[in-house]
Amino acid sequence: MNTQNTNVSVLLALLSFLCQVAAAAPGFSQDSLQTQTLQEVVIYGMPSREFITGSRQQYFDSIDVLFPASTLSDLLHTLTPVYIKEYGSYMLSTISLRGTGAGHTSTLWNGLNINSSTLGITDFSQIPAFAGDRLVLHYGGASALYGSESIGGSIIIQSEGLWTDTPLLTVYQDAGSFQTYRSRVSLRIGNSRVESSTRAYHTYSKNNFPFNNILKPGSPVERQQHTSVRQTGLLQDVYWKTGARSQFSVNTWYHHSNRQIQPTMGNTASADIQEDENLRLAVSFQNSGDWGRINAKAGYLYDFMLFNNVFNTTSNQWILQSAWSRKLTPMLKSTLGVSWKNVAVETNNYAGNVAENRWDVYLWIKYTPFRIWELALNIRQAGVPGFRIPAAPTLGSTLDLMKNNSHHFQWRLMASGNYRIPTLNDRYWNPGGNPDLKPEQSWSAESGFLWQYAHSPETTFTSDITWYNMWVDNWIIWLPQGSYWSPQNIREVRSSGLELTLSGIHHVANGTIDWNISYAFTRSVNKTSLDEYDRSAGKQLPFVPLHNVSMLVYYNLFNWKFSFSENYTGDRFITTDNEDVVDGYWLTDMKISRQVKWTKESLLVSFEIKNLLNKTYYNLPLRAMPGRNFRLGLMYNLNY
Amino acid sequence: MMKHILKMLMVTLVVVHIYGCNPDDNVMPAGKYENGVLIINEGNFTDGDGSVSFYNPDTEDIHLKIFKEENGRPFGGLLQSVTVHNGKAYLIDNLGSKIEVVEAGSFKWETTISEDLSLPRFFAAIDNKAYVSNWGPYAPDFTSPDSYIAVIDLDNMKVIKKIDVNSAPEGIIVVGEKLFVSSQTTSEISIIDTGTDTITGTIPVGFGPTHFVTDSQGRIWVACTGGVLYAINPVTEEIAASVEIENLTGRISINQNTQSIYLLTSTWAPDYSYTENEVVTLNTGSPDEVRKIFATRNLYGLGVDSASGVIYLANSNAFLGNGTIIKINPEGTETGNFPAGRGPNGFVFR
Repeated sequence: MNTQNTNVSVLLALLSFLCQVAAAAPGFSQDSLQTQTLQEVVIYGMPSREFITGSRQQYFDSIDVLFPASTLSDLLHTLTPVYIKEYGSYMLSTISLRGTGAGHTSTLWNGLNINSSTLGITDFSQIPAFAGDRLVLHYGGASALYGSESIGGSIIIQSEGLWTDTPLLTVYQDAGSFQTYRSRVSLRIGNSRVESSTRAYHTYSKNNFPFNNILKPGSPVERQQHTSVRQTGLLQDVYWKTGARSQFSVNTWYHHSNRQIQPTMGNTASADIQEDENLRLAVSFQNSGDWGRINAKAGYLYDFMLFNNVFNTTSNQWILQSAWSRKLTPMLKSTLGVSWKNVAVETNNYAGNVAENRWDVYLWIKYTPFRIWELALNIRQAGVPGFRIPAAPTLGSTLDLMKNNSHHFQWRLMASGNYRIPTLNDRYWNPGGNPDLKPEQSWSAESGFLWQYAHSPETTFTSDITWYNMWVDNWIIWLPQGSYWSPQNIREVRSSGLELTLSGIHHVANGTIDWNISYAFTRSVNKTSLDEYDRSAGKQLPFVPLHNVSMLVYYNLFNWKFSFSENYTGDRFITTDNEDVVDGYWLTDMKISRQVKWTKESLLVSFEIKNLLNKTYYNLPLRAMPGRNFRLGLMYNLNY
Repeated sequence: MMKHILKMLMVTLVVVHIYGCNPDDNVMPAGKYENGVLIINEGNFTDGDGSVSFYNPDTEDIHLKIFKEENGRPFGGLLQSVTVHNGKAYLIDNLGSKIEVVEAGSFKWETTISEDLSLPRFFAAIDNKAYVSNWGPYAPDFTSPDSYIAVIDLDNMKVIKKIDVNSAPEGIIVVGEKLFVSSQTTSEISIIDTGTDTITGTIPVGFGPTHFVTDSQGRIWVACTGGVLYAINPVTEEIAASVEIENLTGRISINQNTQSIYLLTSTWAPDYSYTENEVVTLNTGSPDEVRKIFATRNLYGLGVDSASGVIYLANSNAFLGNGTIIKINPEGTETGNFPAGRGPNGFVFR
């Protein structure tokens, strides 16, 4: 075929899909909730996958059934023992992994770190759970693989081609309490060579839930004011196998959101509103031959934020990445990569516009001396003008102590050195930005043990236990400096903890039960005193719960699906001296679905109860959260 | 996050008001919190955890969160100021734009004033009439174009008038028949006639007039963040004295027995990695003799107990933790410290 014609047709296909309202991603609903240590799989566009040896990963299935239109914030809160700090219902949601702060987790969408260049965080209330086809939570530091901000962990959202001739259409609509309506349309169409995946989504919530105003005598019930939110977005992916061993892909994501910012209880003065707009684009090319494999990527990230119609921030990031992987011997593989990023920010929060270039070079080596033993040594060196950034290494080992048809015992070891480049707000905020900040730095070590047991192909049990120890130094804190606040590299933190996951699949009375219990114990201790009167040294960091539990039971019987989830978020300290506490809480959610199938179509009706026991709970003090609420959903699938 | 930072900035613009000179503090029933020090813990903006602590200097007992203890609910806001007047304590919540009124001895709640207040700051009263400085609703860029003084009838606890004033009024004091109002964003003090409740004049001072005290000669002293301390004759409305003192924060207190004024300053460390606060003092009789008596970091408020001469300093622990109260003697020697609530900004001595 004439290459030029193909290019044109792909372009036309892309344009036509961009113009459609409809969109796509039914696949990967395997009706399984298992947390697994990923086996080595080569995933297109994810060259780091082969080199993660020794670290703990959790990946998520059944997203369509359980979270057809939810945010990543909901998903992580329900399925992981990770602490998600929500500033209200549908409000700013940040993550704390392994006792670190919101800026210590990198979020990679198709290989691009989408943490805000100005804030250094991702707001998980703005990321749909279905923003990719594969979602991986990588626990622990991995700056060698994922770059800056990968201290507590990383979240990897990856889109993939399915290469099926069958068009797949999914239309989902629900209606919930407090005038909440969520819609999603997904369309995947293609063949074994070219594929398009389109997803469009829209969420609106008036979000005016009732709550007890504990600041008034008698705690009267009031309706939450000033919390309405609206989100709209479109994801368009195009994949094209340009040859037997080469692939070209384009991933685009447009997201727009408008929200009223939920004030704290009793704050009658707040009328803050925020608008966000993001455009993310990744163009990737992969080609392999006898000489190895080349991955090349060009990316563009546009982030716009407008606060109260006055404070605006526009960030433009251009990214080029290239990696060359090669199998040097049957036992030795390596990847050599380089990436360049230009960050340019225009905002009236700074004294002027800011732009800079950043470079990364990295070398990943994987050595498999025996079939049962893998070693990976990865190292990254980042370069940002004005900074001395430490080299970030990881050294990991995975050893299969036993592997047969019914048992798999695996022992993991991992050590890493990681870093975080101060955000542009840290450096340039006017007033207070501190251009003399140093990068934050961390060292961590972990060890994990996995046991998978297959009683039969249908009945399995998995347990995974991980222990870690981490030091973070030069942790940046904003401190009052007279009439404004300024960030300083002041805090030193030692975090240690235990992560335990148990899960299983059983056949019961013609159905299957999937269950998963995850627990995290997190001891994250501040080692620094601000002055001789500060009582915070040796204390747990604020908003890092010691205990977190997530439990999910999922029962599949004929065309019925029933899920029950129970989450515990432990007590969290409000202050660094641990004198004030937000009480821990258990939350219960329930969902029941009935599927009706025809030849090529199916309809899934679902009914969901959130906060089943109508608990009054607080994620942050005085920020009301909804009590018991309901949702009725309809999902239509067409599978031609 | 941006909102967080912006608002943190707003919070830090807040300074301390001292009420040692309130003349109307007379007969009241004996109560738990009758004799001692009320500590105003402003709270952290994002957590809305303002609270009142009570310290008994004789027993050295500290009671945290006394509003919550007595009323079964948190104060829950930004506790800008506490003023005791005629047996009632007026707790101003800047965040919730309301005033919780409690019986001053027992701290039992009596009523809440919430109508016609908007970002209220400080309170001054004469007989059954009170004046409260209000920043007014924020413009979207967090400036305060619609500031006013709310006049409250204390018989029925209602706002009866609003007097428009310069942006961001802060300190407020009644002397004789006049109300003096500072505006941090300007270089002038407004004078309001308490008979007619209208502005009758202004006094030009240095930039950033913040808080007031009065001395035994009836003069008003005002600390300006531009770095000058002024004494004003309230009758002639003229400046009687001025002293340049660098890096003033606006926080001021006076020992009515010794006529010593105490002020808080804020300066950068040589490497700009933190700010250091100093306590400076002068006598109203010889204002040019300014002495530094104490220095530490993270001070957010101060107050002097005229009866004992003890100076109480409020260390905010950068709002990350709860505060610490440091006691020093007039020579500047620390005589003790104890924990308080979040962001302590000032004291009421009873």
